[in-house]
Amino acid sequence: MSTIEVMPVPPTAGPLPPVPAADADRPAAKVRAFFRAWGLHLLLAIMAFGLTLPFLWMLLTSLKPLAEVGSDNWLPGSTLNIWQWHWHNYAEVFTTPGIHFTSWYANSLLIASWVTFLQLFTSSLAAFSFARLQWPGRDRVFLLYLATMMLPGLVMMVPNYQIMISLHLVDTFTGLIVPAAFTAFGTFLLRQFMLSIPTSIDEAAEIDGASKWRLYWDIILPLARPGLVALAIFTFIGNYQNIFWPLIMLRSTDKYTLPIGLMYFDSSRGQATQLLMAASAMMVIPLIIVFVVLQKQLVKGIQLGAVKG
Amino acid sequence: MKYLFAVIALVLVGASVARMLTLPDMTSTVPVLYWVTDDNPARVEQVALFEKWLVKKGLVTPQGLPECELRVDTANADADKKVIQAVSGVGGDIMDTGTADLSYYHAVGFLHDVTNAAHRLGFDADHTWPAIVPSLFIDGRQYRFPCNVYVNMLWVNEATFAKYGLKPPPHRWTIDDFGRLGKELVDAANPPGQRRKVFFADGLSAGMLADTLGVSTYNETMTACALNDPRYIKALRLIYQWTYQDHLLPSAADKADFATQPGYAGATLQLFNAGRMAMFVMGRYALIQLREFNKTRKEEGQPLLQMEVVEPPYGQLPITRTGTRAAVVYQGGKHIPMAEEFLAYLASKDYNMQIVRDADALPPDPRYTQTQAFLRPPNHPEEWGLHEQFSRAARTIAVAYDISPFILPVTASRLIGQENDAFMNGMEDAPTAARHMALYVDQAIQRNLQENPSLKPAYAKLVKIQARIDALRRQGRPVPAAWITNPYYRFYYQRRGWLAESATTSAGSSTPRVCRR
Amino acid sequence: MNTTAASAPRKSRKAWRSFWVGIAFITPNILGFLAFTTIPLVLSLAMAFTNWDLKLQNMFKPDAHIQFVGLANFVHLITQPQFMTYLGNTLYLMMGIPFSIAASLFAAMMLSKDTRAGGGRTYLWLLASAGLLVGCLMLTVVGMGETAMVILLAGLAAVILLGGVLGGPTVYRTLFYLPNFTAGVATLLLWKKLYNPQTGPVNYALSPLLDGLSAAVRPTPPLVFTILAWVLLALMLLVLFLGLKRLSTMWRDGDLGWRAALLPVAVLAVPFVVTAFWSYGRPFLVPLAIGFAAVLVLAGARVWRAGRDFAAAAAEGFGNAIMLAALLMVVEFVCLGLAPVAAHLPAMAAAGLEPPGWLVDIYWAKPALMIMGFWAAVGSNNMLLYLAALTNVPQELYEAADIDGATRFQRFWNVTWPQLAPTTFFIVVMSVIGGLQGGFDAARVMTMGGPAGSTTTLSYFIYTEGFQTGRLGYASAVAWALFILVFIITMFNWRFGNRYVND
Repeated sequence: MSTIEVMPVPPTAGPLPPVPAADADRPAAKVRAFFRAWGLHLLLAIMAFGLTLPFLWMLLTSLKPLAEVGSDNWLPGSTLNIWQWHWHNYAEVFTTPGIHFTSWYANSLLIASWVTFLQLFTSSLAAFSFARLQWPGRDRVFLLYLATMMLPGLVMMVPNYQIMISLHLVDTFTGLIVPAAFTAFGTFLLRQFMLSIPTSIDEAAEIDGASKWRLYWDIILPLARPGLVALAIFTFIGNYQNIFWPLIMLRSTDKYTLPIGLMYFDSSRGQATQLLMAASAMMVIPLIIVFVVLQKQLVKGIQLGAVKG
Repeated sequence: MKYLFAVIALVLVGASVARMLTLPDMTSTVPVLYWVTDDNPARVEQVALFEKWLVKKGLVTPQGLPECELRVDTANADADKKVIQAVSGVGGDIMDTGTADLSYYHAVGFLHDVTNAAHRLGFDADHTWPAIVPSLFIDGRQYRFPCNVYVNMLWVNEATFAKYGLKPPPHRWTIDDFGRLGKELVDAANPPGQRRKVFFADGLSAGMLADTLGVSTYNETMTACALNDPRYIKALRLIYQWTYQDHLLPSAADKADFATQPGYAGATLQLFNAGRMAMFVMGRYALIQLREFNKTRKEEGQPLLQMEVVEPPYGQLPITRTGTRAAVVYQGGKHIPMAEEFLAYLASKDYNMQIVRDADALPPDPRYTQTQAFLRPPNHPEEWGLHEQFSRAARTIAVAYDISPFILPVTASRLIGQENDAFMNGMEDAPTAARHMALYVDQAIQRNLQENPSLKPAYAKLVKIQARIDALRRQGRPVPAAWITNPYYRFYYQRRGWLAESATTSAGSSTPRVCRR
Repeated sequence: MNTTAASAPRKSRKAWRSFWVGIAFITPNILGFLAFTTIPLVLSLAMAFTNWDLKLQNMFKPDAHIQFVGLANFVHLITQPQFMTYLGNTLYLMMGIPFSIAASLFAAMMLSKDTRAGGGRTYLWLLASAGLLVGCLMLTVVGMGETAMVILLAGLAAVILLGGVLGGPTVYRTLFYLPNFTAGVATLLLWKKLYNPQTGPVNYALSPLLDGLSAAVRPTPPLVFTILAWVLLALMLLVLFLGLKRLSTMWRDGDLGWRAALLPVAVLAVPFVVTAFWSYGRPFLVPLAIGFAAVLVLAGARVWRAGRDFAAAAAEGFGNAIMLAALLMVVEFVCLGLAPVAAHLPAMAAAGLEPPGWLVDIYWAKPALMIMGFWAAVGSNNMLLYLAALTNVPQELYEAADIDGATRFQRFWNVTWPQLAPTTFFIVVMSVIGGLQGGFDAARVMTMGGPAGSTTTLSYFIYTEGFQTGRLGYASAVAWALFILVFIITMFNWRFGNRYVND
């Protein structure tokens, strides 16, 4: 495999060249570059501002006393004095009777991680086959795959539940993990990514006598990393937040996932919206960590090294 | 890369094993009953009470343990889950159901008939409120027993009235009084030309007004929709006037404030607490939330809420509706006799007193509302005098909801709600909206009969009876009580003196006769 | 299955070998797929032709048997007027898709720029932001009442800017993607709050604007607004003309085949057809029809006169043309929608202009949901996909374009856009699927499908009409009808888009 080099490019090199132009030493160009750079900053900041508002609202609501939850003022206690905010709402999430917050947290993380891991594996294999291998009937089979996404999932729920019962998977983590590990979505996504990798690489590998498995494992998979990372992010977040299927499948309180468990705060006992928001804010933390860690990989450009003879 | 994969796999396996080991051991030496109910800390106490009650009753294993273990499966909010599980053969042994759910679940057929057990174990119609009995029976057979019973009343914040120099409403009052007092309050509370911040009442609907004016959703035999009626049109117009002209009631736009789902609490109670909603319609269970407000007020040294409970305003006759959260026994369960014992537990003193203390609406058995614990809760002197308003209303003016066996409640309420929206949005006038409601509901009934021919004989028979009722009424003659299956009209006819039999058969009699015989 | 391989036995063995290798790779996925997707799928297809109703046939009713009813469910579906209404609602909401895709692409392009090059003046901005922060903190100590909210938001803006300057694109990317983390819980709730007609910030901002507008409108002669309405309609015709002009240029340059051109032209004509069925649009129908015909003739003449410089395959260039047409169609719809508003403005202003009721108003509920969708699209999964795809565009292509002296637009149109084609294809297909199946969460959480059914989409219809009432057979029929619709649209994408992608 030594003939093909895969070199990551430093993250600073975007598709568009950095703003300071070659003639940056001329004063006028310097000024223009300056305003262009800060114009971009402002634009991004304004957009980010608009997109961050719900999150800010969630955080502020999580710090309110119950009586103020419905008020139009976003600020807890209508004050900026942070010492008067209800920080103990966060402690209350852990101490409320009937709430097994840490257990549910662990369950959610575990399930989402397993699904992500398995799905990356199965989807990338299938996507490799659909994108990089030539075999008769390939596109037709793929179209069938694609077609399964077009039916609203709601109508498949009853048959699916019957299958789960016959496999004795009701109220188990396996019953949540396994069905989610095989999706057409992941296959489709990775196929599209693998299609954009030049075919010349396959030919070079074939000349080298590499097996299909090595082609997949050593060459295509590393090159498809942005796609894998994107799929990992989507899958993890999607399964972490999934509510419909776990709701039907789970029965024991100890096996609940976070979204199911948090429904408690909106029960007939009354809406404890401030606690719901506090719990949701804590629920978001792993997602942010996963995203911040993975997003660099997402944009770490892949430079295809020259294929040396 | 290989190593990364291997490491991740190892970590995941390790974490799974660790999680499996820390999961509590759920194996049980005794049979396990699942109770599908809502997520609520009170259930923990109720489960513990049940197991104590079993021991007290001597229902124990040879080792002296309770004969079964009760576990809570919290999915009450999700009706779909219950149905999917039930038709798949894995429903909860006991399931909580809302007032309107019974007819659907009975139609699906997974409800166990508890009539005989109810007589044997003591949770039949004699052990609960007569007014709610129609909601527990179908065709003369009992299918459930209440976990609690609610009666809709108007909660009044006296401080709000006092603030604007007004006297709070009397115990019984008319809709004209309501409109007059309401206008005085909102005019005094809201400076002209500014956004309105204070409202008079929440929770009143055209349906409630129609109830007091003498018309309900379905006709006497529940074979057709009765809403295409001048009285209902009047109710629609009144609600519109109160909402958009007089601003007594919050509009849909006002209400689109906070609550994710129309249901418990939401913004209404917060506004009530803040003095921006003078009154609202709800059962005794509103206290669960109101007590929280009072707790905060106590902590912050503010005066407690000054509350009063009055009847909803009436047009022709005072009336209100009663509903229930009631437990059914799953026909596919493995431990039906034990589930029936749970229903008996719901009729027991232990359980009833828990509801009395917790203020989760009225206890299933009316006898426990005569206790001091109910009338004068020692920890809440500020509530004295409120509680009996609910028990008295349940005995005098409460009527069960009319649920037609020929259409699913969810379908009917969607069709009616859509037309109501269209009217309130100014797309249709009131007569058109009322006509469409009746038309669409009747069409849905016909479709249901088409799909489910087994309903047809009963329907045909009732249609004939309806014709005879209509003929008698046209001549102004009384109607035999047994002909009327709609609990609303049974009550209404009795109050108006239109029943052929002696007046003893009121909504207050204790024999279940909901049924189409 | 395999006609090419049959001719040469040698080749055939190789083909079979590659077939089995290909199958081997998809096996892990397909096994689980068969169990958990294909079986339920086939079952639901079977259900669509039966009268299965949970109320009538289930394990507790051993005597009742599910009956095969042929196409009865589908017949009932088509004859039910509601189905068309809800299909209309769904398609209406889908008009936001082109804009959503454009927004996510725009966001991705902004985010892929290197924001850390501050021209050497970074410290100035750091100081400014820090000053703002310190100011906020000081005011915190003083404890301002009414202006506290403003200060808070200013503080947030300062923090974002500071974070962006220090942390570079990572910070912006994370902030852009934040809505996805809170999806469902906080976001829908917040939007409901924002849209509150009385207390929501949206109308709070709109009210003074509308007051000013009605004050300005009242003294103005009504003729001005009549003219404005006609200007808007002229604009609509202009958009049509520009769209056709662009298509004809593509045709001339050999970028568009005749078969690929049919649907885009039809899409551009849709708003004119809708005018005829819309009560507010009818007064404008005749002049619009004449204008439409004139533009068509004009564009046709252009095509005929210019001829073709390069030949193109019949199906060439469909993807670009349809995207362009879809985008312009929405612009046409906006013009068409605003024209009657302009015409009626004097009468409305006389009564005082009220801000809309948004989610509780029959006419505004759908636009409100579309705006929300657009907001969500900016930082969506699509943005991430575009971000990843943008990074993979070979730098040499840009260098080559620069040498040719390409403008910014040309760089985008000739280099970036074609390179993004596989990703765009994926996003379009998924958006169409998601759009036709969409609206469920919003309907369930925010509007309950109302007011008066105006936000009931097909997926919510399946839930209510079929699922809530136990009519599983009927629900399956609705779902499969939807499936057919999605499948046809996706096949279009596939036939035309995929060819382009696979180049």
